Amino acid sequence: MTYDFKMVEGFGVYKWTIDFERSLDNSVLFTNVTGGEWKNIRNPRTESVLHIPRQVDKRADLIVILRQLGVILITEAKDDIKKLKGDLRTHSQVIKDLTSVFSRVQHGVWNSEESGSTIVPALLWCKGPGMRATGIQVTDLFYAFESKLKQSSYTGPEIMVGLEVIKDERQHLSTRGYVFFRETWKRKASEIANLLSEVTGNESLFWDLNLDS
Amino acid sequence: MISTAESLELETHEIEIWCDNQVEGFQATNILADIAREQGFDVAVDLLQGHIPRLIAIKDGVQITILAFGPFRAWQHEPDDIEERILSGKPDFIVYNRSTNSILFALEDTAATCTGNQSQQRAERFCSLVRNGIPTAYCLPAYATKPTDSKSRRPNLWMPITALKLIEATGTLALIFTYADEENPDDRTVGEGFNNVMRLFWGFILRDCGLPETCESIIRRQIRYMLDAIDNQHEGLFSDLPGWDSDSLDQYEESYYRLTRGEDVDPECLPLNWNVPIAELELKENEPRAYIPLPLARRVDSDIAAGRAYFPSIKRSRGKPPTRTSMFGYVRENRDLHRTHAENWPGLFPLRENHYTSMYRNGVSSPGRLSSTVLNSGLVRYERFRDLRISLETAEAHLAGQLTNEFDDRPALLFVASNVKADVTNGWFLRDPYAGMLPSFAVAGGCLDPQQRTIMVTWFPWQTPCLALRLSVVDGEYVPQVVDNKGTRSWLSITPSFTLFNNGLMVHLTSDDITEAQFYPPLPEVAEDVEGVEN
Repeated sequence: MTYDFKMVEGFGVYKWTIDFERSLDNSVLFTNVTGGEWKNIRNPRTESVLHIPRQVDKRADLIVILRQLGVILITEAKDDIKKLKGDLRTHSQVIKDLTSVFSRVQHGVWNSEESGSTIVPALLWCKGPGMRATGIQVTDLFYAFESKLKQSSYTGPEIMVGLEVIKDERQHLSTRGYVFFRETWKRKASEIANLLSEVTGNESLFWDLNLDS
Repeated sequence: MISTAESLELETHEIEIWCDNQVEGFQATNILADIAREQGFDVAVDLLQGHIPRLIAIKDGVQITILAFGPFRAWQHEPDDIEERILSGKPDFIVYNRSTNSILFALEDTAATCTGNQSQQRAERFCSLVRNGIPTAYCLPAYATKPTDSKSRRPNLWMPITALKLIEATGTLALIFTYADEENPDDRTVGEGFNNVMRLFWGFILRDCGLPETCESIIRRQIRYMLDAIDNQHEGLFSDLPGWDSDSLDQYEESYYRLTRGEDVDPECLPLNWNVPIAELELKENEPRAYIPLPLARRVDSDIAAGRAYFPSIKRSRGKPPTRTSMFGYVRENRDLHRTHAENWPGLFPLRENHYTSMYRNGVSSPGRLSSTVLNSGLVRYERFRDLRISLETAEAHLAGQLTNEFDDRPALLFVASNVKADVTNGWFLRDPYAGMLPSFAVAGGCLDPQQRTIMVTWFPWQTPCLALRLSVVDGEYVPQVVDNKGTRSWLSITPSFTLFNNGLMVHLTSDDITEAQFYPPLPEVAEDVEGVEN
């Protein structure tokens, strides 16, 4: 029996959440699909609250720590890739605000290794019957994202991650990672791409942003 | 890997968990899997279609398959019965057996900071589920940190009282669970509440499958927990809790437990009957105070001063009010909405601009901010409805001699819903937390209790009735219709009741059918020569 469902943003965040949780221990710090348990950013390693966003704060949709790489992905999600463009400026600000949160050591909650993690901006979208996300749309989005990050006094690495969720005709969900980078960050980007391939079971797409410049 | 029913002769059961979102469904499935393992089941968890959590538990020739689906409305096979239930507010989990089309259990589970009245924010779904015969639990933090000031807060006692009164009125299970403590706010792993509620969740699944379970001991323990909470905290929260006897907790526990088992209990043995003469109460604090001296507020003040009414709660605050600019915007929303719909409602009284002026003058609680809080407390208990009726008829001249006196000898509760916003597209009539507070106060205050038969009166001092109501012509008559949302469903669930809006419109609900309600002033009659009216 196949269970039919309407693809909404929450499914995308959920699918990546379970893929990360099933592959990487203590990896998911925050998901924004629900107000309750997830209102706080928690460190699953210490089971402690790391940060309580204020009600008025704009929130990321998914925050994940890739411990073996020392990387934190801060992700904005939308069901349709077209909707992400309008949120790039806000998300850039969210990344800036959270970068200062994650860089502080909190005794017994968030240690120096964790606080030394590299923050990597990420975007999540869904794709499937009736929901297009072409290669051109994806690359255009990330060039626009890079531009917005630079405008926001972003000082992080020149790496961005795309988290795609694919719904097929059989109502099956799968995931694929995208990693965009500039030359100096190629090695780290490659590590992220490889790890995302392990998490999803699908080969990640690896894109040098210099190719277009 | 475990063998499934296809390869073995097994008795099989399939249960669906419907939830607000799939992350919670995934989490719950894994918690249930842990409990099942502890109880000796062979357990496997996987994902159907790459994402639907599936738990298979096998023991003693019985296989239970559990599938989790969320969010409710994203799925084509969402059962009609569940859709009907969530129209009154979505709980986090509804446990469902498709083969018998029966809802087994519901759970509202929150980590939100349920400070004070906020714990009642989810009461509309809790009350609705229980009153529809669905055993329901509500799990919330006993202590939680409020992000605005990082201070630890705790919920009030209205929810455990609401739950016990629901058990009394319906015989259906209604339980409050809490977790965390003062030193460890928000922490689900502290205390037994979260663990116990998930064991009850699993227990109801086992019960439906005809397997041994331990629900009864959890239920009994939790009833005692709620009674102990009331016993320990009521003196700091209530003016008085009439008839409460700390030496009778064993008897109370036994009585409520028997009610959940469908047994008869002498109502005289149950506590929480507020219907006693005010003169007999030992009120700790009952200073009248109308922050904003609207005519009805002044009358209530007089009634409190004269001993005809009192504030049941003693711990209260005005909250953080909005800025003046925001408040002006909210009032403007009311004006715009009222003007739009007044065109289709001949004779609809205009909004009371002088009331807004009074708020602007008297509602300044801090520089640049305006509070819409009218009275010292949003809940006032009257010994007799008669006195409240007289005050309503005095404060609103058009009501003089109009309201029925058939409820005069009953007690009454006046609930002041002081919110001002009027964004109809987002359901701002009885918006959170008011949608939950209304049924919670009503149930806890005795509206369903035959010994009290309390009459609920809700006052919206700032809002237009057009947030909740529309008028249309059907078969030559003006017929009222409600704007369908959880707020209006909550409103219609408490009857008989009276509701007063800013413009003086009074609605006497006699049932959950708005067309049977009485309106003061009455609804207009269709004039025969009105163009465009369909007769």
